Amino acid sequence: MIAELAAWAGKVLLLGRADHQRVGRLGEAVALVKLYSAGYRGLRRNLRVGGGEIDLIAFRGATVCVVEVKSSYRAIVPALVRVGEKKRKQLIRLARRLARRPPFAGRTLRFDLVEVDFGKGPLDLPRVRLIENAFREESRAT
Amino acid sequence: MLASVNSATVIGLDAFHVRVEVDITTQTVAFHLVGLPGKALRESQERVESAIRNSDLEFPQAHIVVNLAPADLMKDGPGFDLPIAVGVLAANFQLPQERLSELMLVGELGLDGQVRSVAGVLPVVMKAREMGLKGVVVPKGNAREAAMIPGIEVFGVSHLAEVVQWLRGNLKLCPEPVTELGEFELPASNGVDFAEVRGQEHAKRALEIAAAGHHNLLMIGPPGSGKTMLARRLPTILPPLTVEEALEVTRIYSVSGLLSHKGGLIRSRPFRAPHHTVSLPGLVGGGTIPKPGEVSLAHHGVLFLDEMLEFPRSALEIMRQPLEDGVVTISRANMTLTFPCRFLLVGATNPCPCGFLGDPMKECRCGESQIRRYWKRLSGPLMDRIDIVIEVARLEVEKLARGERVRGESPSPAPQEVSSPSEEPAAVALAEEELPQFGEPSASIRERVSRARQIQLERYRGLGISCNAHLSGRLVDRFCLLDEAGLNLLTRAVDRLGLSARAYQRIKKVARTIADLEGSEHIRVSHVAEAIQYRAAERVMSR
Repeated sequence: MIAELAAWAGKVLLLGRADHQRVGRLGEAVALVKLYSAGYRGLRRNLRVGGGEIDLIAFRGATVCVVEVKSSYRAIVPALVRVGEKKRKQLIRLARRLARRPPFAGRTLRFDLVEVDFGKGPLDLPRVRLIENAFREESRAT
Repeated sequence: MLASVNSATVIGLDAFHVRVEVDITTQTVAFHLVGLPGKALRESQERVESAIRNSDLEFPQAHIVVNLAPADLMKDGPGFDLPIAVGVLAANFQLPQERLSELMLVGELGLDGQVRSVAGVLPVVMKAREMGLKGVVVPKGNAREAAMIPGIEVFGVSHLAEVVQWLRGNLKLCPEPVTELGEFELPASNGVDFAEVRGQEHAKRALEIAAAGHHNLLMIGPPGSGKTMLARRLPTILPPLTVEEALEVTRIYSVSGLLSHKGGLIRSRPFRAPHHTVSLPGLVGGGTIPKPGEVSLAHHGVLFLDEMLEFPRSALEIMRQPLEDGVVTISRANMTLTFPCRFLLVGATNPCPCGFLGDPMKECRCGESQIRRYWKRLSGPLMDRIDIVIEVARLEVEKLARGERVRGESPSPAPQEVSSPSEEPAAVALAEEELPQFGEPSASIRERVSRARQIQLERYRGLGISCNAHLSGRLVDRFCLLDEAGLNLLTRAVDRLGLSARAYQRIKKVARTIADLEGSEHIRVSHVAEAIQYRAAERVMSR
């Protein structure tokens, strides 16, 4: 609920000046609030790993969570679908690199997804949804 | 943490041991299945995960690698679901591992954790016993089938949770009682009997001879003359399966997944009647991991080809090797498999495309060349393997009506007993109608046939063959000696009817069988005379 209110406040402030980058950055801030209230700790934003960037990374207990944030104004297609094959592969590649360096080495890495939907009208209450274990590495076999 | 579970995959008719190794480590969350899994097997990941979660157990969110060793053996089928699930749970410390090394597991999982039956359990259990394992865990639906193998404990399970609780020691499972093989009641007659056949004495006699000497048979007759009806009754006069034969047949059916859930040994001789649109792999067996085809499913039984000439020529020709060798060999780039297929071939066909050639009541409308083209589909080499050719004429109406019950008359007593249910509900329904009997019942014909077979078995002991039909040229000369009169008759017949050298040999073989049926050691003139009759129909074909 806190995350939703934050999203709403952010939306009002942004009103009329919404471009993709701003929406994206606002979404990440909202996701940060959401994750913290869901018990995630040790949060880091926009972590650069060789060849790419991870939106958010956090500890949930002993498990490392690689979090992708998807923000939109009333999307029709669910976020889980909007993270395509290419993006997944990229995230898995980044996570593998990440798994080699401290403090993430020797821990289980999973992939979570935060969906932030601001809603079209100025009075629509935004929706924030956390999807744990959104996807995972699939078999290498063809 | 590492865990390993025993399982097996079936290739051809044999099971191969497969070790399911599961390793769970900390890394990115993943599920890798390696070791040449086939399509159905690769999907097992989804089933395993759902089944574990829906059984109130935890599916570990970690890096899971499942290896099916040996890595170079192609594996397929859903039978690995259960071993993979148990392996994952054991590697995740949810199960003790001690007992897994002496067990073999096989079974498909439903999303709710249910264990579903799979094909080919019989060879798997045989393999487990061979390896000296203590027990096998199989789906409940396969338990009876698996319990045919003595010397190993068979546990039938119906849910994943059941297996888990049992391995944890919280639940006791009783091993399935061993199905007795010794007690052999006479095989189910499929609800049909020769007693129901009106007339057609000539054809019935020919079938009896075919059964006694394992001679392949071709019936030629107009539509509605009863060819199919006669062929369906042929298994009822074949001698009952021996225990070894029954095991072989059951094994083939187990691999094909055709065993009924009541399981148990197949006691009656199989009767397979593929439609003439059958594909070649369907007929002789095939697939990426080859499965037995119709010829193998008819092993130790009857393969009936209705409308034989409607089969594509390639389908008929492909059966030459199986007919000759009693086995069919399927070669693939990476494997060669052999399935047994010692079957009795029974063909039925119309004499011409319209079906009425030589019919006393209806005229044939086919042209000469049309008929010739029709018969051309039956090649010489294939005809070479058919010993008996008979014409089945349509019954005249008086014969049909004879013995018919008239309304008002009291129905005949003594309802026929129908033993086990069969694959043909229609046939059962027919038998239940307490048909009056018209001819000799199958049981008494079977007795004569069995006696003749016994004679042949003793005569050919040590020669690697068991019946007259399998006599080779040299052995024909040794065992089918004719007397002076018989030889005379035969040479005259060959001359008069224009028969080939092949036909000559076959007449001698059939005459041998007729003599055996009579219990006579020597082949007499009458036997030869009768045998010649079963060639006479050849003139229809070679006109």
